[in-house]
Amino acid sequence: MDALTYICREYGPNRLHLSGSFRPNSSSAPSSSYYKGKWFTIARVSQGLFSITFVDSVIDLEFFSAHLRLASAAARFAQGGTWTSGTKVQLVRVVDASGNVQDISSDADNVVSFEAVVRVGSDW
Amino acid sequence: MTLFDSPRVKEMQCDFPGEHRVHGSFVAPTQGAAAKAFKALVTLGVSHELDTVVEAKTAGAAGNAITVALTNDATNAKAFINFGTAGCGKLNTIMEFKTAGVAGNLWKVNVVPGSGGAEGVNIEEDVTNKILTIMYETAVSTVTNVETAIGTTTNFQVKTGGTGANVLAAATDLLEQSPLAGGTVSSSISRTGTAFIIHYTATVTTVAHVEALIAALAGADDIMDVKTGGTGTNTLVANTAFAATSLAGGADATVATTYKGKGFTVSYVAAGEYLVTFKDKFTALKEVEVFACLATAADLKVQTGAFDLTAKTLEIHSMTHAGVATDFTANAGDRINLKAIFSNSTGG
Repeated sequence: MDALTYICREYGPNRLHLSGSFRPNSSSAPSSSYYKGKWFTIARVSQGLFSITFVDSVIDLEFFSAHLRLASAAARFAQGGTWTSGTKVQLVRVVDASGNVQDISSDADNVVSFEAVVRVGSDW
Repeated sequence: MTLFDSPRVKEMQCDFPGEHRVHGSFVAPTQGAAAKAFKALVTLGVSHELDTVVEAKTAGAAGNAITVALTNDATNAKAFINFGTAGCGKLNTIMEFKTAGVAGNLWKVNVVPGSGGAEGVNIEEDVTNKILTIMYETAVSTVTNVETAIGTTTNFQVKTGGTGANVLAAATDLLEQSPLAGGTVSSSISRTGTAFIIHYTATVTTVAHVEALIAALAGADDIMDVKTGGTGTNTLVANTAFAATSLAGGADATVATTYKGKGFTVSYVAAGEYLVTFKDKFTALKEVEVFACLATAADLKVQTGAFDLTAKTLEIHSMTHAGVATDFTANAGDRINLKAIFSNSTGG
């Protein structure tokens, strides 16, 4: 069983729990080779800012969180950005302790992981 | 192919038995002044003399529980004069103004010897100058004669009869413009819990009287105030009365109004502190996570605080990375995300 494609409905009717991760790649676009998870694509928007574009039937994003895993300890933190329902894009950025966006070098242990609860049907 | 149609999707129930999840996100409520509940009384009752606006003394939704009723049932005191203590030697009657209220206090009384009417007593009511003059025939007129004469007046009556056989004499029974006193408007206000009743007298009590009663509330009664004064000289009539009516419009400090998800509400507590109130009660909080989404990169993060199982509340603190409490802005792009996993089983 592919654990990465579980669609768990524990958050209620018409709600799906999606999760995934990607590797930043300094000032370059993250490589899709390092995506984990399904139903999204990643793009680098600008320094330290990434877009997560959900696919398929996502109508709304009700919960989102992201966390940063680093090979070496550093004052870097994941921070959410805006959600745009029309394009199904959630932004996520990496900031330092002053709130300034920062790029992260590519490393197997430099990973942004995230989870989302999305609505894919009518509200209840 | 949609997400649902994919053959790679394996739907499953991830909850453990007795587990419940709450998730969502919200635009952080901003600090807002709580509003006081109030009520314009002018529209209540049949007639509308009482044009005062009352309000709860303290801001907050609790003020909406205050009710006000207006009843025409006050007992007012009548002005009177005790001739004996006022200076008469034989005339020991107590006479009162027929109408309760302060109007009788404006009257003065003369008791003088002079030409008499029946049984030597004559009474003159000077309504313009508000002077009552009792003229008696010295050494002839009795207290009974005077009291009988009082009974013939328009505005006065015997309150307490004196010694009827006493004979008045010029040497002992002489008063010059002695005032009546003790006439009061005893409109009052009573409170049971949050229910106020204003007791008034039709055609006597004025708006100013009512407002004075409210303004004088003290101690535990001091939970209501005059928000906007009315026309003080307006006199209440019978149809001014109205049944208990609730104040409205009271509100607590601003609560979040833009939510995604269900099962919780959020209110502003203080700088950088929000309070989540879950709608359902569970036996334990197993896991909770909060996460900040900001339209523009900033030095701001969120952190969970105290959880109160009984009150079903969870604190969320927003702060800089250095830990300085900082408010979110009420920007649609700035959201706090919340996920909580509860146990509703004592089995964990």
